[in-house]
Amino acid sequence: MNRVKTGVPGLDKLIEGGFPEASSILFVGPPGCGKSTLSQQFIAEGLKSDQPGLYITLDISPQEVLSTMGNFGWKTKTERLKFIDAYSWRVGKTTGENVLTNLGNINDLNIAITEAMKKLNSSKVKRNVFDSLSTLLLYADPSLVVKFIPVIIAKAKNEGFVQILILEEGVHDQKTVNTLNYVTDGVIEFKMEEDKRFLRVVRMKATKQKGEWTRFDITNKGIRM
Amino acid sequence: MFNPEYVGYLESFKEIGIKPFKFKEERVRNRMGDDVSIFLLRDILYSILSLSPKRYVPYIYSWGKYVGMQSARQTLGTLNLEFTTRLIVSLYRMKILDLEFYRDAFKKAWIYTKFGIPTFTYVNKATETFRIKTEECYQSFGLPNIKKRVCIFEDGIISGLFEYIFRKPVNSLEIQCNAAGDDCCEFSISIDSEFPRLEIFDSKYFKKIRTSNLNRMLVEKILRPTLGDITRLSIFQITYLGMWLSSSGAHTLLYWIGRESGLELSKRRKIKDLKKFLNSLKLGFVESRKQGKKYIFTIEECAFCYGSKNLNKRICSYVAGFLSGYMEKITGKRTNVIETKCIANGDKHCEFVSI
Repeated sequence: MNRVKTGVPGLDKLIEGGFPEASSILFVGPPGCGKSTLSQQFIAEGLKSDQPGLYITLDISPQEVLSTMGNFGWKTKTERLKFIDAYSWRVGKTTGENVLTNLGNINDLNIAITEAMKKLNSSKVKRNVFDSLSTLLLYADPSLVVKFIPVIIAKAKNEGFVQILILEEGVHDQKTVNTLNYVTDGVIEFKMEEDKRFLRVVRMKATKQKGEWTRFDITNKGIRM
Repeated sequence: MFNPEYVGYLESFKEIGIKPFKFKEERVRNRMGDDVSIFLLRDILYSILSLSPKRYVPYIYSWGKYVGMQSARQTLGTLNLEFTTRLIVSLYRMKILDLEFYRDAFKKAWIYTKFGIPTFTYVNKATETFRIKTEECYQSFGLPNIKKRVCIFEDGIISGLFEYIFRKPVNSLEIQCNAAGDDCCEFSISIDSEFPRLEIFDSKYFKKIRTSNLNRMLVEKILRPTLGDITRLSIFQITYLGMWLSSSGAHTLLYWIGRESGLELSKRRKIKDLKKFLNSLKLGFVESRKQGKKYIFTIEECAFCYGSKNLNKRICSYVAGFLSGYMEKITGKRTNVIETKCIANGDKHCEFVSI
């Protein structure tokens, strides 16, 4: 099976070279333990080799994502990185390309993702981050979201995307978490103890994993393991 | 000449723009005063802990440690010059564990922040271990007996305080707790670089505490006879705002727990008067009005952000979540509430709109 590099060599070693191609991976953990940083590093790694990236942001503005990535020294000024802005409606901005007007309407999000994915069809390998599912579950009807997520995952696979979905730990009911575990190809858990961060690969398609916690650091050049 | 900047105090407060506490009274909130209900802080802590104890127990301990270190910075920075100079000399020349030296300052700071009334109960200089007993502990005094030690945040704060003072890795572990049926809380502190073996227990225990705490919010009688049911605004804000700013995902967590509490308290219409209720928690002065199908809430002197400089962010996610849960019960349908104005966004007050 072909592998897609994560951008963190230490993590690639743990999972036999990278995420399986056209797979969907769930990142689970408390806030502040590096889920978004690893996701952005994953996108940046793709951009280095001209692989398109689609970043669906619900928690911060696209400008903030770009600024954070820029601070790590990652190349972001590229046409190959597209955003779906599902954040700005909450602060009153509802105009612009790929800016959603209300997260409560899940159809709008579905259409925006479908169109953006179709536009990014220039490469075999493509990367997508959904940051975060928790926020979607907060503002939209959870029963609809649970039906919507498998659709988005299937769509991403068909288009050749490797997709990262971010979930804040403990916030959602077990039924929702079980569904997400079932429909994704891999799960990586994060935790934090004092200022030390750890991750472990709980499950990964076609990959042997030890399931042990591995420490990583967030440096000024991104995540290092 | 001694330079107070040496201890690096107030660094984090300069970043977020909130005035730190001082040992002389200096009001930040003119009308509401600079205290916040301990039940509001407890709700945030125990709601988070109840989500997933295996992840959030270490998280809250670590967070407490951060708050403790920041508090130590302020404490040292706002004590008089002679004391601070002596402390620095003691630390850097003598390098001894001299608890007598810190005892009064620690007690003063602890009572000032209304964390509890501390006493050093056991000191072993050979093993560099000591214990602190805390009466009227802000985190657990009055909680039901669940036979568990639950002051994880306070554990973190104590370890952070002493880690800053001793400039060595320090960890604290609670050995007695009000929630375990003891008369007071007691913490064992040691110089130790290993992350402490915190007890992880089922979320049902935290949920029980959370429910008890929510019920307590509705009781007018004062729980803590000496300290009152309040803590300092600066401590509350560094706990909340620091957590909010630590991660892009934290607002989701805080909105979520606020929403759960709003829903829970609104069940069976427990909150008869929202304005009076939020005022009693010292959250701020609330006004509400209906505009078409939308409800608009304004909060003056909001406890979550009052005094913050303009961060270009709307940070009162807990309040938005709380109002969302409250409105859901009132209207009988799922309601989202977004924050449209915030003091941390340069506005004069906070405003929330139901959508």
